[in-house]
Amino acid sequence: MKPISGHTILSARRAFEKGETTPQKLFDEYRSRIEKENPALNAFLNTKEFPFNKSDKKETSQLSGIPYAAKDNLLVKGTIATGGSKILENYQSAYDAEAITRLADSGAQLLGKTNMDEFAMGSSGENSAYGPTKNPHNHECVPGGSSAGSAAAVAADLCVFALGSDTGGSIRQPAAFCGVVGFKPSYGRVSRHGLMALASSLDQIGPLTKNVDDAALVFSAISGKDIYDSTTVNQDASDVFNNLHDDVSGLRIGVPEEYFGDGLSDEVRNSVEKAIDKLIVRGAKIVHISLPHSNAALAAYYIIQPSETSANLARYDGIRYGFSDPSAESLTEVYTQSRAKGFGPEVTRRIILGTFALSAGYFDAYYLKAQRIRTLIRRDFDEAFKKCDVIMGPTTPTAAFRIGEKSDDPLSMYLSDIYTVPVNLAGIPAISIPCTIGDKTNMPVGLQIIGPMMKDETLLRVAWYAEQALLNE
Amino acid sequence: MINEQEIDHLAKLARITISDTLRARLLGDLNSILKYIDQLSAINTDKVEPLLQVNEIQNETRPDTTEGRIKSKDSLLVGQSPHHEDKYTKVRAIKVR
Repeated sequence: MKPISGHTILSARRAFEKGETTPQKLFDEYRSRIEKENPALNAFLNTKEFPFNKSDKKETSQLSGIPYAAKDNLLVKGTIATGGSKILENYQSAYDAEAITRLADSGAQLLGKTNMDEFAMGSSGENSAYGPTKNPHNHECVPGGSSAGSAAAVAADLCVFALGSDTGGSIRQPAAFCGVVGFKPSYGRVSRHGLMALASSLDQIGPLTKNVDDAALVFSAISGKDIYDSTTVNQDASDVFNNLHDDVSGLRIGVPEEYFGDGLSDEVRNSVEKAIDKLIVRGAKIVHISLPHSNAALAAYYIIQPSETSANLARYDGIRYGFSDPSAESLTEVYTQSRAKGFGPEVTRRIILGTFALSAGYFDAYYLKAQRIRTLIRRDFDEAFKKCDVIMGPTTPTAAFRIGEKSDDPLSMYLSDIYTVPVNLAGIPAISIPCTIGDKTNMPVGLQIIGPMMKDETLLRVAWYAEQALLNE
Repeated sequence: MINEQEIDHLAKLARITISDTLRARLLGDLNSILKYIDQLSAINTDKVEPLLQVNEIQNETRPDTTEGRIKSKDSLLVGQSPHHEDKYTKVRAIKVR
């Protein structure tokens, strides 16, 4: 696997230090690249509201002067945030997301906002109201989703790194499809304040980067307790980069049989098995494990996620902000018609599905049942981590598929998240790193590494170790 | 399995107008998704507690004070309401005669 082209955080830092470039120059260069490349890729929705931020603050952070992109469901005060939806076409953010504030405090420079599936519902980027994003490796293929634009922008070197959000795989799956690194931290490590809520018990913000070093640096900057998100934990991540290259000898890798079963393409299977073999050569020990409720996870996810979504998206009512249908004649029509005209088909589908699962007579059979399954899924992982340090497997069952291939069949689209969804249900951290280019599709394949709850630091260390093994072949 | 009447009822609960074409599509999509979800009924969960939150934190409240980070101009708050007057949001008639 070759490194992704363009600057990483550390290479840009070195270039600043040597005087080869300046933050302003680098920012302008990325701006020109976006102007040139974006019409074909549609990765960015908005750059014009984000000028270079001239600051006289002293450079203290590794991220100082580094140009990055943010998914359009993150709020930046006074600028448009659409969430990929027509209903928020002109919505102006009233405050900054905490992750954006923390990056601004560290001196990172926001280049613009990236395209995404509407309200983060989708696995292909095709559900955006602003047109699909293309995969930089092949413009006829999807980049994955929902953090479609963020993954494509990193892969095409239209930014140094990007922020995304992951509810069922929305960072890791597009990272795998675009051949970049995508990290979903443990639930509670990064504040969700200022992230448009999709499913509040599953959502987590994380970085999409060109390598694991950068993922650790960004995580370290955005992680931490926030009084505006009471689910955040008080766990310091400031040392994660300093310890990233520490020895992981004696590493025990759990390989779950359920992640190598039916539905996995030969190409992905071969790539992932070869990657794990390289770690065995370097002394890692393989432990065969079982996660018996893996298949149930996707079914449980498609109860829990739409249920929480149907409640969260009730706020888009045509009254307080966003699109409001001018032809509505009564208060009820303002709600029903603004929502009908403002939401796309996938969002409507999930709101109706969630409304069903939460409605009288079905709550116990669906929502509560799914939450009990969620306990079993978490137990599967807890049991597995008694025998191994991390779990490895494919991020996705196939490499990137063609645009339009799955857009008429929601269930087959949902199945592309089968290996990523269990992680969100359990709340644990996971990362996708580029594995190889698949020999059949000629598209990137991702290796997923899953860690125990709150062991994000260990997970990143293993990911760095695996990345070195895959790069130095 | 759900039928057309149930789809209409759910759309009413969710406050979304749906067209005949969308109703037909939702009916097909939802039934195929629910059929997939039905695999869960084979798993015995009688003695399993639901997982309501993942990171074992306690309920926590912050002081009920107004000094916060969110200090926005009215133009970004009530000013974004499609119909507003001064600091008030206007809504349409609740009942149409």
